[in-house]
Formats: sequence, structure tokens, C-alpha cells
Amino acid sequence: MHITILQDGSIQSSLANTMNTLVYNELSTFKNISWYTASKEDIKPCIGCFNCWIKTPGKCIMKDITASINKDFINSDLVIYVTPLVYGSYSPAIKRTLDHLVPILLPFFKKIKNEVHHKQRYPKRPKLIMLAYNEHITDNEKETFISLTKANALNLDIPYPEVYFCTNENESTQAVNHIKNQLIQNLKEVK
Amino acid sequence: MRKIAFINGSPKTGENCSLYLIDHISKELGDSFQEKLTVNALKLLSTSHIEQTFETLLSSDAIIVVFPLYVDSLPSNLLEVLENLDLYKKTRFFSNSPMPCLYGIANCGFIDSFQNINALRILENYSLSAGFKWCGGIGIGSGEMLRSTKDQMPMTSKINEPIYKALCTLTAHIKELEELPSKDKMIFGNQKFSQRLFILMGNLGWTKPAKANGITKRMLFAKPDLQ
Ligand SMILES: Cc1cc2nc3c(=O)[nH]c(=O)nc-3n(C[C@H](O)[C@H](O)[C@H](O)COP(=O)(O)O)c2cc1C
Repeated sequence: MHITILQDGSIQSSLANTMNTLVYNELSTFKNISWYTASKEDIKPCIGCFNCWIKTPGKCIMKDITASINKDFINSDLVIYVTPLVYGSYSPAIKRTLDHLVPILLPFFKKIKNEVHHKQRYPKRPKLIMLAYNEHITDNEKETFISLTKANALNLDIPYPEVYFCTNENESTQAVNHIKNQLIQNLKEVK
Repeated sequence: MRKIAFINGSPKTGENCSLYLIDHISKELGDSFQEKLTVNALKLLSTSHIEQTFETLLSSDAIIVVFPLYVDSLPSNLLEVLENLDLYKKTRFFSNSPMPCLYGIANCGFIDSFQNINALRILENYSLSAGFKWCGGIGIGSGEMLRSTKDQMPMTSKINEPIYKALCTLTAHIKELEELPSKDKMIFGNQKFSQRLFILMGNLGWTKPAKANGITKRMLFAKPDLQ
């Protein structure tokens, strides 16, 4: 099982440190993990040029770490986003990686669940897990983020992502352990 | 003297639908605001006088955030500017002046304008967190089509009626600095044609610009990096 894990390296808070350390300590024991730390310094914002569809199909014309993230994304079974929750959205650094994910879609449209979406470029897409953290999370922010991740899933034509919200160390530990145990279970079943 | 500020969240370097919408609203507002300012979110990220711009934004009566939908939410450049503005406001802005009213206009590529809902909710959460008065927002579908056909099908054409109406309602409420009267303070407007026709036209639209780049229809389906 190939797993890709994306963390936000630009947030300096104690919860961010706790979360990133926990994820690393608990999950790095699994084989075949690609780790990424997204930072605003390394990734420029997408500029909406659509060259990834009509000039270099499947690839962004900007050459940065997102090229490698996308390669791992399309070849992974599971991708885990460890993101600060910002107003019910992914954090700006994580969002930069997501905006750069558009090349993995085809420009062509189709209908899914009575909505227009893009056709998929690749036959297989990974399962997604979202670990969203912030010391303060409102109910509206939770609701928005869950709805957002469901919309993302429709665009990628995958099942709805598993979403965890963590506001302190305790919740973070529980969430990461839950994911770890699930992975152990999955690996047993595969064997 | 009333002040209004537009934040253009489109990171495009050339023409963009967001700017088309800003121009439209700005014209419709006439002289109800004596001072008007348009800020480009991407450029603001690399400017050295960001604090000066933030002060101007914070002293406005209304801030209108106009942007394209990116991955069902705000483009990263806009999210970053808004977060920076929030941080700036929290640490530096000690003023008793009233909270600026915040309105949102999201436009998306697909014809389904309601797909903008999560982005508008994020703006609402933002307003609450940063201390702006959330007055509501509108979601517009088929933004690329709207902008690229603006000469053949102007905003007032029959096909754009729902979008035009949504913009009129928004403009009327901005003038009075009032909240949108609709459910959840949101209004959605689509161009008046079917999803089927949209899909048909959209799918035809990519081959020509690709060909100009020497890319054949078959090459559009490339699967680089697949292991
Ligand atoms: C990175 C990226 C992500 C996008 N995500 C979506 C999306 O989730 N849903 C949608 O309908 N359109 C999406 N679009 C299309 C834009 O919203 C659309 O092209 C919009 O009209 C652009 O507006 P602008 O000209 O103001 O930048 C996306 C475009 C880009 C470049």
C-alpha cells in the first residue's frame, strides 16, 4: 500500500508541532510512505492558465514540489492531508498543493449526481483522509469543511473522505491512533 | 465620504471573469461610493506596502471579495491575503470605527452556480472570525463562458438573466450597506441553458486552443507519471 502524507510546514503553533510530530512518530513505521511538507516558500500559487490541460496535458508548467506530489497522488492508495483548519478551509499552503492538483483531471466534462464535473485523467484515485486541526474550531467551520471535502470527492470521483477535527493534543493523539489502527487492520486484510 | 474596496481573487495574469464582474458592479454602483479601490490579491502578496493597503481596506464601508472557485473553495492566493488581513486586523487595528460590510462574489467554471456554496460559507466563517459584517454573497456559474462571450452575450442578454438579476440584487444591497434578503444571505445564478448543452459546448471548446499549442485531441488524454 502506497501512502502519501502532506503536512503544512508554515504554521508555527504548538498544536501544529504536536500534530506533525505525532503523525510522523506514529505513521512513519509503515512502509512505502511519501512525505511532503508544504510551504508557501516552495510552492507558487496556481495562476489559472490551464496550460496543464492544453499545453503540457497532465503537468503544470511551473516546476516545483507539486509535480512530485501529483505523481505520488495518482500512484497512491491513500493520501492523508494534515492541515490547519482555516475558516472551514484547508490552510493556504495545503491549498496551494490542491490548486495544483487540477492537471490530474481532464478538461472534459461529465455529469455526476446531477452536477457537472470533470472527467478523470487517471483510472485510479486514492482514498483521502483529512486531519484538520486548530485550537479553535466552530461548528460552522466543521460543517463547511465536511461539505467542502465531499465536494472535492465528487470532483475526484472518489468516496467521501474521512475527516478528523483536532483542537488539542488529546484529540490529535486519538485521531492519529485511530488512523494507525485502521491502517494495521487494512494491511492484515490485504495479506 | 463613503468608501468601497474590491478584492480581486483571480490569480490570472490576463482577462478574468472576476474583473469583468467588478467592472460591472462598479458601473452599476454609480456614484454611491465616492472612493473606490480594487486590489489584486496575487499582486498584494508580493507588494511591499501591504500594510497601507490593509489600512485602506479596513477603513472602507464595504469590502467586496470577488473570486473564481478553485477546488470548491477560495484560490490559495486569496485565502492567504484574507488570512493576513485578519492577522493584521487582530494585532494592529485598534479603532472604534464600524466593521466594514463584507460581500462575496464567487464564479465557477461549471454551469452549476450552487457549487460555489462552500466558498461563500468559508467567507462567512472568515467574516465572523476576522470581525467583518457578513452581508452575504452570490454564486455565479459558467464564469469562463460568461466572460469569453461578453461581447456576443452581454450581461443584460436573455441567457444571462439569472446572473444579471443576482448582480442587481447584490448591487442594490451594497448601496444601502444591507444584508442580502435571501436564505442564508446567498443567491445563485446560472446562465439559462441546460447542463447537457453546457457539457457539449465545453467539451468542444478545448481542442482548438490545444491545437494552437500543437496538442492533438489524443494528446489531451495523456497520463504522465502513471506507474
Ligand atoms: C486550479 C483551479 C481549480 C478550479 N476549481 C474549480 C471547481 O472546483 N469548480 C468549478 O466549477 N470550477 C473550477 N475552476 C474553474 C474556475 O472557477 C473558472 O475558470 C472561473 O470562471 C475563473 O474565474 P476568473 O476568470 O475570475 O479567474 C477551477 C480552475 C482552476 C484553475
